[in-house]
Amino acid sequence: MTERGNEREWILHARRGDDDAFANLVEAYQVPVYNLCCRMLGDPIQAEDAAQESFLKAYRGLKRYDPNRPFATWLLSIASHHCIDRLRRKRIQAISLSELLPNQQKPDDSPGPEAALAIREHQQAVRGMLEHLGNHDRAVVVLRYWYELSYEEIAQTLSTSVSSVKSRLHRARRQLARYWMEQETVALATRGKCDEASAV
Amino acid sequence: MKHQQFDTWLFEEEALSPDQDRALAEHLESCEHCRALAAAGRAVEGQLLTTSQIEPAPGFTQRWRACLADDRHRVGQRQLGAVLLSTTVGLVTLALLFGAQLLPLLQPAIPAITQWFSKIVAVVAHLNLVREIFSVLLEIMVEGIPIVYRVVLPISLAGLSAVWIVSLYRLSFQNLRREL
Repeated sequence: MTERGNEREWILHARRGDDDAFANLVEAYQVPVYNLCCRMLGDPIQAEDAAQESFLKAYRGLKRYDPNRPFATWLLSIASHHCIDRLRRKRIQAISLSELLPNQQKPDDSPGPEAALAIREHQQAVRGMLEHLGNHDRAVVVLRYWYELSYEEIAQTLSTSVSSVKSRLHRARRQLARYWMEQETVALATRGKCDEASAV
Repeated sequence: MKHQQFDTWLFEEEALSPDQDRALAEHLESCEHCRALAAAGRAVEGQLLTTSQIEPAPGFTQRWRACLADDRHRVGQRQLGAVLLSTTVGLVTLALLFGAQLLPLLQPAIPAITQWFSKIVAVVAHLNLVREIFSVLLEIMVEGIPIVYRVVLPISLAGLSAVWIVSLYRLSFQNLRREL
């Protein structure tokens, strides 16, 4: 992410009201925060909005930030809670990946049409899986798999206990595996029907 | 052992004991459902681990700056509204309190205030009358003056004013410049 020294300096300056210093932090953490919001909300427009609001909340609450705690965890905590609140307030409607903004994927991932399609399908499959989880379970899975946070860090981020994180993760993984099995069964059934039709 | 137990062990976060591990392996050999579930779990894990982070559209920081400016504007407006509201409420409260206190004191002065008010109204009415008289006189005078004079007179007055302004300018500023 960022060099710790630079980060501390930016935080220090931002606490004194330096907007440019906080803008550096926004620049450094835009991808993890946006990705978290996107995984949680499943909608790039909502995710952009949520990420912007998360950074605003962080800017306003910067005086409450404990420097002994990693800044990334603190920021992800704000974003996670914000997304959970949003989901609680309003059930987000799933949208098709074709509605994603043109620059949603990593710029390095600029493959040919087939590979791009594969990436899209992969992202769609992941989004489909995450949509089947509850808000808190989804947050635990996202923080575990995309940010590689420890149980303790996830517990700190979501203001919960380690045992709760473990049980949520366990439940989520089981739920995801069952969903995957169902999807496989549906895919096999569809393929079977297609084969029958082509044979006729 | 119950089937449910193996189902739980498959997704256990903590490491299983050697005995549990062995029992699970034995069960997986015989149970097709649990085998399929374990494979699905591995597939899900693979999907999650190989999915890259999604990046926002370019210009995220600029948009954040715009959001911050908007937020500050909104906060400023809210604060101004709150100040105005509290001031108004305070003033109204004070006015009510003082009004209640002053009303008995003002009661003897009410006839005098009414008299003063009627006098002011009379003066305004007189002033209006004077204005009407002057406008009628002006109309009569204008009608009596021939059209040539009506054009020449304002032009002459304008010329005289210009000469007057120029002379004043020369007398004041030019002497000052010479002194400098």
